[in-house]
Amino acid sequence: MFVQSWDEFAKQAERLYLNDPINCRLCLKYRNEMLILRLTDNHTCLQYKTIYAQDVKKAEKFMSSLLRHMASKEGPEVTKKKN
Amino acid sequence: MLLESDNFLLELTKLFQQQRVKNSGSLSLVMKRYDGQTKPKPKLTKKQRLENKQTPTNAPTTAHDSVEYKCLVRATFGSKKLSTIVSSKDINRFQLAYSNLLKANMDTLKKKAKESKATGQASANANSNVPSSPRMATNAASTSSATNQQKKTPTTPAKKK
Repeated sequence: MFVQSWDEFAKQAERLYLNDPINCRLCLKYRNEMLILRLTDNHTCLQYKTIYAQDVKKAEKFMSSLLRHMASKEGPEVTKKKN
Repeated sequence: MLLESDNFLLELTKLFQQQRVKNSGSLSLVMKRYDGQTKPKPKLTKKQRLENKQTPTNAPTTAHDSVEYKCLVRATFGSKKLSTIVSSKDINRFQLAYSNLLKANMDTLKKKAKESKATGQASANANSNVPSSPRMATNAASTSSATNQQKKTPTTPAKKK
């Protein structure tokens, strides 16, 4: 499912991830002049496509918070606010 | 190929360079939470499922509590595959290096979202390394708003090198 706006994607992706952290994965596909982000838990799939550099910054921010959460000790039930 | 995080970043940079040289192909990065389990859980047999229904066990939840999660990062470009596991100890260092690497290498994307057609073409020219003089690019940018030009001029000479 493609999400049009970044804010919507970030919000939904966060919810999806917190719902089931261990089964979620975030895929980035970088092709010539295009970047696709995909977050899926094998049931729902969220995708966001961009060709603009400004979205890279946002995506990178989102990824680092996700990365931090993935490597933390917190279990699935903890709802940590990420910014 | 499972690598240490430093080596992973190094090899990933090489992949980005390869992609740039070839100017084709897609590079994909995957990250997911890693709990030490390398094989997928076997599906329950019918008998086990029936048993589980009768006595719902709390085994999975208790197992999750004690696990210290790590992060598994994979990168694929063509037939080359890299992966690394980052523990929470190294996460700060890795995250900084990783995001810097991504920012540095994902630079073929367009600079601004809301632009007129003319400036979009100008930036496309700059990105595709067409050997046009820098003056031409700046002229094209100057036809648009002045603020755009100020943002654009520092980037264009850097691309030409």
